[in-house]
Amino acid sequence: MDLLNKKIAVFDDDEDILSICDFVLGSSGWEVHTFSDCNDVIRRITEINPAVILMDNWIPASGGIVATQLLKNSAALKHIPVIYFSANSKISELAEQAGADAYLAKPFDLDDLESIVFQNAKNQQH
Amino acid sequence: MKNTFATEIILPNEQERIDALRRYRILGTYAEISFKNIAKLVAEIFKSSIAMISLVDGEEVYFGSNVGMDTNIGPRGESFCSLTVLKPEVNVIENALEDPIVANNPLVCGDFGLRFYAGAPLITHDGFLIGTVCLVDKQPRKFNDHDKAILEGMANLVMEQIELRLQNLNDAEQQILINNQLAASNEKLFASEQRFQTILDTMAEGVGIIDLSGQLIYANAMAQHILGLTQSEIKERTFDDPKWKNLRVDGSPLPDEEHPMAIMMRTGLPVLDYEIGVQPPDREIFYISINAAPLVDQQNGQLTGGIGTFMDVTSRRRVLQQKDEFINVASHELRTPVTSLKAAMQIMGRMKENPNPIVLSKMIDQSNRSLDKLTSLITDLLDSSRISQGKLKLIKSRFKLEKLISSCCSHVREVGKHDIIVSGAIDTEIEADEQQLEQVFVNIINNAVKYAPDSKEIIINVAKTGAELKISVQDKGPGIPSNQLEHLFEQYYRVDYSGLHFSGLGLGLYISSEIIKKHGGSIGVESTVGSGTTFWITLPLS
Repeated sequence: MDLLNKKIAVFDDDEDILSICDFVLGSSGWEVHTFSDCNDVIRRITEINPAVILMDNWIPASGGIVATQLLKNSAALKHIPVIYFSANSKISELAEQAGADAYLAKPFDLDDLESIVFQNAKNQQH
Repeated sequence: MKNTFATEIILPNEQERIDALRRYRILGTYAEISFKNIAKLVAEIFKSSIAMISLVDGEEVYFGSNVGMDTNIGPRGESFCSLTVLKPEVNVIENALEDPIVANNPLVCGDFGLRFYAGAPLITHDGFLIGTVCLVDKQPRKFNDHDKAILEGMANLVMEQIELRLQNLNDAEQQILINNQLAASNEKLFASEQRFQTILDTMAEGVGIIDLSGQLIYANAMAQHILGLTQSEIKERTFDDPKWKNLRVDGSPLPDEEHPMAIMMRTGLPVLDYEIGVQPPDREIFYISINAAPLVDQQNGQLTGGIGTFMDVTSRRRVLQQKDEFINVASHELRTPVTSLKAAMQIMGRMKENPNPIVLSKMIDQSNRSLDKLTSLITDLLDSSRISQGKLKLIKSRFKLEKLISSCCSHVREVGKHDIIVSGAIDTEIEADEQQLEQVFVNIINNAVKYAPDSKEIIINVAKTGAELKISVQDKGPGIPSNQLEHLFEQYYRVDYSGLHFSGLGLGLYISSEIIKKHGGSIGVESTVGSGTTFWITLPLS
C-alpha cells in the first residue's frame, strides 16, 4: 500500500534534527524538504504541496503555533496534516492551540517518527 | 493628768473611746467651731451666758464651739464634761457647792465660780461617749426633765451632724480614690493603645479594618505603603472599590463576590492566604496574599465588621514563576541534544550489520556534539545550584589577561561571522581563577554573538584605573530595554524576546556575576535600545 504523494516538509531550527529526518525519511522513500525557519510558510507549502508537514514548536521567526495556524486558516492548504514536534512538556496543549493534527514528543523513536508520518499522509489521501 | 474630781473619770474602755473620737477627725478642725450656732441656741433657750459643744480627748477637752468662754481648751482633769462622758445620760449639777464630787474642782473653788452644770453626752452610733453639749452658770439653777430632754435632743443633733460630716469626708475620700484608680486605668489603657498602635505601625503586614458596609475604617502604615495610598484616601474606599482594580492571579478581573473579604463577610468564616493581584493606575501590577477574619460582637455573636491582613507577595510569586519557567526551559533544553543523540544512536543501531561509513562517521560526530552540549548544560545547572548554595570555590593563579581573552575569542573567530577587536591594557597580569574567569568571558562573548547576530564588530576593552581593572565587551546589536536591565543577573531570569527562542538555560549571567563577586569585583551592563549593549566587569588588582 504505497502513497501517491511522498513529499514531506520539515520545519525545525535544529540542524541535526533536519538532517536526521532527511536521512531516515529519505531512506524510506520520502522526498524531504527541510527548513530551519518558518518564514513564508504559505508560499513554501503551496510550492511543494507535501502530503504531510512536521512543525517544531520553537522555530524562528514567528514560532510553530503561528505558522500552523496560518496553514490551517488557508483554504487551499488546511487539508495537509501538520504533525507538531517539541521537547516541551506541554506538547499536547501546544499542538491543540496550534490546531495541529497530531504531535510527536522529543526525544522520539525513529520508528514512531516513520509511522506517524506515514499514517497521517495515508489518512489524508482517502 | 490631775483628776480634780472625787471619782474615777477614766473608764476601762478609754482607749476605744478615744479611738472612736479620733475617727471623726474633727479635733482641731474648722468643723469644731461650726457647731457654734448650736451652742448659741442652747444659751438662748436656757438663758445662760455660757454654753458649748465639747469633745473629750485623752488629756484635754476641746470646746471650740462655745459662747461665753474665753478659751477653747481645758485640762481633762478639771473639765465637768469629763464626768458627763462617764454615763449615757444627762449629767446635771444644780449646785456645785453641794456636790462632794466636784467640790474641790478649781472652776468651782477658784475665780471662775462655777455653780451650775448641765451636759448631755454625744453618743456615737456604736455607743462611745466622745463629748457633750453643755451649759454652765455661775448661779445655782434648777434643771427639769423637760430641760434635760431638750439638751439631749441637742446632743443628738450635734452627733448626727458629726456622723454626717464623717460620711461626707469618707465619700469624698472614696471619690478621690476612685478618680485616682480611673486615672491609672486610663493611663494603662493609653499605654496599651500606644503599644498596639506601635505594633500595627511597625509590623510588616498591612492591616485594614472594614465595617459591615465594607467601608474601610482603618488602615495601618504598611497597608498604606503597600497600597500606595494615604490613610484618608484609603478610608474613602470600600474594599471592593473598582478603583483598586483587583485581579485574580491569572490576570482576569476579580469579581466582587470572589474577594476574600467578601467571602469572609458572607460566610462569617476566616479566609486564609488568598492571593489576588492589584493593578494600580501608575505602576506595575503587584500581588498580595490576604487573610480575612470576621469581627464578631462578644455578647450577641453578630458580625460587626472584618479585619484583613495582607502581605506583598509579588517577588515571591515572581521567583516561583521564574523557577517554574526555568524548569520548563531546562527540560526543553536538555531534551533537545538528547533527541539528536538518540536518533543518531538509532540510525547507527539500524546499520550495525552493514554500516555505511559516511553516515556512520556523521552520526558519531553528531552524537559527540550532542553529548558535549548536554554536558555543558548539566554543568551550568550544577554550577548554578552549587553557587546558590554558596559552595563556589576559587583556585587562583597569576596569568596575563591577553592569554585569557584570546582563548575565549578563538571559537568565535573561527566561525568568522564577527570581528573581535581587542584594545587597552591587555597585557596586565592578574591573579584570579583562570578557568572560571574564562567561563565568564565566554558567556559574555557568546551572549553578544547570540543576541546581536548582526553586529559585525564586538569590541573588548581593558582599562586600568588605580586599584581596579575594568574589562568591557560591547556590541552594536538591538540593545536591551531598561526595565529588563536590573533583572539580567538574577538566577532564573531570561530576556524576553517574545516569539523568538534562544537556546540555553539563561543561567550564564547569574553564574558569571557570582564568580566575579567572589573575586571581589563587580559586573554590570549598559544598553540603549537600537544602538547596542556593553557588559563590563571589574576586578581588583592585587
